[in-house]
Amino acid sequence: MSTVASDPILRQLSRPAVPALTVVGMATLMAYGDGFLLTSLQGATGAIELSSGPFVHWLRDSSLLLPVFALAVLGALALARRRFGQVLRSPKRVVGAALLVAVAGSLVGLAAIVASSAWNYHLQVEQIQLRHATHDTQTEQAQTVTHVHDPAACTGTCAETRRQTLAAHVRAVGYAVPVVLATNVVLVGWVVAVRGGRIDVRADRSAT
Amino acid sequence: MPENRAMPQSPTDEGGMSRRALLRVGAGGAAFLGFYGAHSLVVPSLARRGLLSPDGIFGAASSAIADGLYREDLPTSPLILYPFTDPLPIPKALAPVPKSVYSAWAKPPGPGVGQQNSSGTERHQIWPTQLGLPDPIVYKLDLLLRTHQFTTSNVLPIDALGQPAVSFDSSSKRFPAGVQRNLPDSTIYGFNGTFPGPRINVEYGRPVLVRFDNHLHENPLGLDRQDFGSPDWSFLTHLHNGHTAPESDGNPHYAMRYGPKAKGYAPGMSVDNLYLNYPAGGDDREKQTFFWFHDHRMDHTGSNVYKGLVGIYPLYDPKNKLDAGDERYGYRLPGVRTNNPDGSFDVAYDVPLVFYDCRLDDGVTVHQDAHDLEFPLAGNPRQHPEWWGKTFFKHMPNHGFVGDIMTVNGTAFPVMEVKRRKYRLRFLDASVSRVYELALMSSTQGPKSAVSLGLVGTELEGQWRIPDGEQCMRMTQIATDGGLLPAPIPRDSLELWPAKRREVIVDFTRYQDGTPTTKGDVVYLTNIMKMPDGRMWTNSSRSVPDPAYKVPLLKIVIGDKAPDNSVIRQSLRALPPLPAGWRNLLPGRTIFEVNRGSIGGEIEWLINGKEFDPINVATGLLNPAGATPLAQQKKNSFNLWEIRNGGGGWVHPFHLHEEEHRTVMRNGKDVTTPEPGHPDDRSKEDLAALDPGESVIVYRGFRDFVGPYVAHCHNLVHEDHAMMFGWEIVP
Repeated sequence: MSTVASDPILRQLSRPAVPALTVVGMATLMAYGDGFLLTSLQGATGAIELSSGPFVHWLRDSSLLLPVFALAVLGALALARRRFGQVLRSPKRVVGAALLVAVAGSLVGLAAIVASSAWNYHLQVEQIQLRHATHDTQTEQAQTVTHVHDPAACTGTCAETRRQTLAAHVRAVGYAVPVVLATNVVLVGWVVAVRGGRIDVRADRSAT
Repeated sequence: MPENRAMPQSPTDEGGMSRRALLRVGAGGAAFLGFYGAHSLVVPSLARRGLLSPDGIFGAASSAIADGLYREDLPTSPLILYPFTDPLPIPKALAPVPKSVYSAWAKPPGPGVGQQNSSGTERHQIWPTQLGLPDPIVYKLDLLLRTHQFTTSNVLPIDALGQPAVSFDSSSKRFPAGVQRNLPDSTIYGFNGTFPGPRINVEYGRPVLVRFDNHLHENPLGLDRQDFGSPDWSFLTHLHNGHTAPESDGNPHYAMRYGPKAKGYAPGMSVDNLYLNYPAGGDDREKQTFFWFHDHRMDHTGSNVYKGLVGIYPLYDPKNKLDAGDERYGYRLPGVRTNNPDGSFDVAYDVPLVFYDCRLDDGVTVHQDAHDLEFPLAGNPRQHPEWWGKTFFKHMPNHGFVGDIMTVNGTAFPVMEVKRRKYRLRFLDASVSRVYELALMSSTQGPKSAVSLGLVGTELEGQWRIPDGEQCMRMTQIATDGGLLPAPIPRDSLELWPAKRREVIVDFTRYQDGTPTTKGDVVYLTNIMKMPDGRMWTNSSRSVPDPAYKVPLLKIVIGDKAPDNSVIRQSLRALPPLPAGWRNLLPGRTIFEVNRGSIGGEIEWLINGKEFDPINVATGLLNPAGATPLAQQKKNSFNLWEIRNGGGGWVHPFHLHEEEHRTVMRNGKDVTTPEPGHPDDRSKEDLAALDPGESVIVYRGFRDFVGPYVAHCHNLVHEDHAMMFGWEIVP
């Protein structure tokens, strides 16, 4: 009786259509690595409401981002397959494929950071307007303030505070670009190294 | 791996077996090195900063990123070339205003409606006669725009590397590097125009009313106000930590909702703060010994205090002459009292020492922070060569603000001649962020400038060192910020956090080894805590001592012998007892956690995830009883409050207004029997000194008054950036 383990045909047929280990390994490392930066940036420039319990935030956000990173890795591998062929025979091609994966992951990571910054900025603008309404007006007015959404009401120091908040986020994103890219290059490179300098890019079951 | 084993073997693969192995070994080695490096380097650093926790790691990373994102440049002050030549100023007691004078004021003080401040909207909640006390003694303090000189010594402008630097005059004329200069006077806001402000010596049972009159809009000397201090020149004054009704307590949210209905009292306005000098609950065991009054204006407390709005308020207890400033009676604490004809009294050998650190402008550091819009005349961001040598301040919410010149009673490196006898020294930290650790040291070779020792950067802070300094005397601690201790504590050194007070007796007749002192001997009061920024120390006795960090603050010269009737007693004032069932309050305690966020292009500080809300009473975090109680207490009730430092690598001196507390638990451990690291836990305090990641549970009362109060971090940069919450006492 042949088993999956002993029969090379069955073994081939039982292989997943995607290089799961490669995808999962790289996506996981990049998701949690970039997630660390995302959470740390939020601690540095993010909204006050989101500042507590960063470890839980990191676990949650990174886990939510994991499928997106997996898709990005898959996409990068598909691109690498098209560009370099089914089998990466030279170190140059391995490096090329690894860079593609790192760049794809970085795009996802940066998109997440930009989205996070935008959400944090949105929350901060509400906070700024509320603060200026409560701190800078008479109490009777302040007591009636719940939320101020009218951007036109935010002028002078309020507008300047808003501008500086935005500037802080822009600086943070600018800081994140090279850091995310470098992080992902290192993480993908480490996975490639652990796998002995190879990346499995094949998606077809007949590949040998 | 199966799929790779199926691949045709190529020469590359054959030859690559060793390469693959090498890569795998390399990857494993890198991972190992990463973990090893983290364990040996990062972990101790995180642990020292209280960040060795899952959240703490993110706090450390966020801090590191914030350092790169928020520009917070500080100048290097010019080097004071001839330290320890200016005498220590010891303020004399301020004279009260005679009744014949204040009765003739257009708006005389009194208990009626509208008599509490010039806006005519408030009255004093409790007038002294309601407590059987006499009418108050009246003082008047004008808030004035004036100047202050920190030293008469020549200075040498230097840069962060200790190298001679250029300097400027008030017209921005440039002086080449290496030219010695005299410092220009700094512009201050001062109570009666002085820094530190006046000393009001008071007694329990004799209430005091202080009329604070805002003249900050007047500029008779034509001074440049620079770019710090409350931009609208308003003020509030808090008597720290008087048992005081809300309208006299300087609570910013009280001022916003009642009183002036603004962040502070505007120029031209006045307020009568009534200090009853009445212990909480009328309990003599609640009596305190040393207050200070300082500005508390919303969002600009730090800059107003730094600009000079500081005064001192020693309290004496005439009951049975226990602590009446007369060493022949009662607790026999050092002090020889003189009653002055003007109604004030002075106490010799009882010396307040106010520590305050500052930075002087180097003329080339760019002034830039999120508050620049409030000072349009300054035209920031830009350099201000015309302000060279004057005090420099910018809000530094990310790093905190520390100066590189540490002054005592407003003078840099002063000298005090003492008699050969015992003294009562009252320490007060009036700094924005700096924590000190003070020790008494002798030095054979004397002070050396940090520059001459080859030090650079933050190592220049303090300017002078005594490299051969050795502890030569011990201090006997007799009081904390909550008043006299139940029993004195011998100390080699003691920490002094912002706003904290510590009182000690020092016997200048002998050294700690028993050797008698002789006339002309020199002892240095020395700071041995290295704190390069406003976050926390890097070195101190109870963390990692730096034997090279000994910054002399005050030179003490032993003089002639003098009569001494004081005695160091084995017991002082008993503590109010904790109720036997205090632990029953633990599940329902009110919990506050301090943390940080960001807004407006700078770091903001928050409590329970929220900025200071001047309208609403704060809500505690979920407690073990499953409740999130409001910070609202019934009058004359007691409760446990927990204050947690949420981490991030900062220390927080957390101040609770209205009544003193007693720390009963620290990091979950019962400390009603104090631990070695906190020997004066067995005392009352108004400020919980929170190490990184630390939590304390305090037992406190809410007596005598009703109304809104605040609690806040007394790192004034944190306070000004929303780290405050409102609470209230209800009938």
